[in-house]
Amino acid sequence: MLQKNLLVMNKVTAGYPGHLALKDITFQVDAGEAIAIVGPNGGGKSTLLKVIMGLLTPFSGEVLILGENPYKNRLVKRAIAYLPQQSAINPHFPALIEDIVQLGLYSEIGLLKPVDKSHQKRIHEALDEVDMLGMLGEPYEHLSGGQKQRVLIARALVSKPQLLLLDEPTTGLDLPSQKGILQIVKNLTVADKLTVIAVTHDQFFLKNWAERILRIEQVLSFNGTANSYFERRED
Amino acid sequence: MLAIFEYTFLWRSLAAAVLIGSLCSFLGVFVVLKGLSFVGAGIAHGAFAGVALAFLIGANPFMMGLLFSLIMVWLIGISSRKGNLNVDASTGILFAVTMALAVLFIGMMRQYNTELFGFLFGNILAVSGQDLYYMGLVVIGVFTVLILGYRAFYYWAFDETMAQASGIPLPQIFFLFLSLLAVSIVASLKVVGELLVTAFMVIPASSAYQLTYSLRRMIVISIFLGALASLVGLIISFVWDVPSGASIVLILGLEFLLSTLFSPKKRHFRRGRGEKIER
Repeated sequence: MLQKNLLVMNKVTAGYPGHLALKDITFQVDAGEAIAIVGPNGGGKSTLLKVIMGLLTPFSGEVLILGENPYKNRLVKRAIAYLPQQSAINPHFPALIEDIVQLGLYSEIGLLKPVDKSHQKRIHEALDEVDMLGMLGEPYEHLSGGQKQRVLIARALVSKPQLLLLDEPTTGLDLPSQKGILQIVKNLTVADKLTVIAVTHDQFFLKNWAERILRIEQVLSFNGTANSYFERRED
Repeated sequence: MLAIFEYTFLWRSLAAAVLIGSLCSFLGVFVVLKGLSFVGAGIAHGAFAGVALAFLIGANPFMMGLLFSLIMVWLIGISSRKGNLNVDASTGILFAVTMALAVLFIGMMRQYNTELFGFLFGNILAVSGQDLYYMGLVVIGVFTVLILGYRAFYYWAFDETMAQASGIPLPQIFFLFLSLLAVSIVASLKVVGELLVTAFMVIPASSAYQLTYSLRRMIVISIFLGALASLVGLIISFVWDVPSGASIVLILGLEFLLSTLFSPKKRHFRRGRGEKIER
């Protein structure tokens, strides 16, 4: 069942020793929203994703996911899936595409639980969702940048998350691949009603997908609809 | 030639070579994928400094080597996690400091110690039954941890942030892996020596990387190539009376050359002229 207020950030201040990256960030995300996070490099966008994922404890403020504190209730973190920037991943990693997708089941199967038929079925469904099922058994290394990104999205989807975090999902891809990723993310938000938060600099992606935009420049300098964001920029 | 197998010590040496070859080659897969080969070299230097101190004060060289290498691992881990240094820089500093310590300890000895220099270059023919027993324990222990923790190590090798977001305790995995590395390097010192142990950590895994697209198969091939090179290298060293560590590493180098020449990856890219498929 969809729950309103999937994510609540209340006066969150966070950063690293000697560096304040986010200051007094307050916003809420409802189930099914398509939210883009924009802002200058070093403005705190990636730090915000880390805070949402529970990887960085804020100095102050409150983060609630599905009404729970992710730093106290680790199980709630299973509701979140994350797609990193592709540049962070070794493009020649020795793995078949289904092996990569299976990694997304880790929070469920842990170290020792065997991968059974139901898990296999979910891996196939996730690959089907990103139109990559036909490439089952293909080495990850053989794929184009766009196909690699699709496989990584399948890895995120296989855990059946309620909140999907995307970090620059189209950066470094050619135009056809960008359009392909845009269509997949659109399907996830429109057809599957999945809540998606994407950090992006891609104007094409922003204009064609985002419903709401948050601009982060250490503080939250804009929080509104995509239309109002672009109208304000054109003024 | 078959007469050489009548010697009991040779059987011991062969068993030790296969054990160490397999051990280092398994760990080497993650060393190569995570780009930690310099850390392996650094730990080997740290262990040698410990061995040198042990000979100076009359302590157990294995225990002292292990202590030094574990201290080194923890210092590398802490400085890279908490400080502003990356793993390479902190390893570089400790590499130099421990090497200086080793030179200092050797300089303080009153006479030339051939046994100590055995740890530098390896002397597999001197492996005793007790050495073999401890090596076996280390191999069983390290293999057990790597197999049980396989999914976590796999995820860690693929992407640290995704792994951490999925609940894998990253600092603990990192420290655990470096500790396994330290224990394995110390166990390998007597066989291949401090200077050549790094080759064992890097070459079989790099050769296997050329031959497969699956991590599981890469591990199996790496272990096979490491064990095979140990076996062949040792037999060559015995038959032609040449240093064992050097002949083992040269066989590893030959394996790498052949796996690169006959790599299916090379054929794939030649067929596709280096362009990736888009379906």
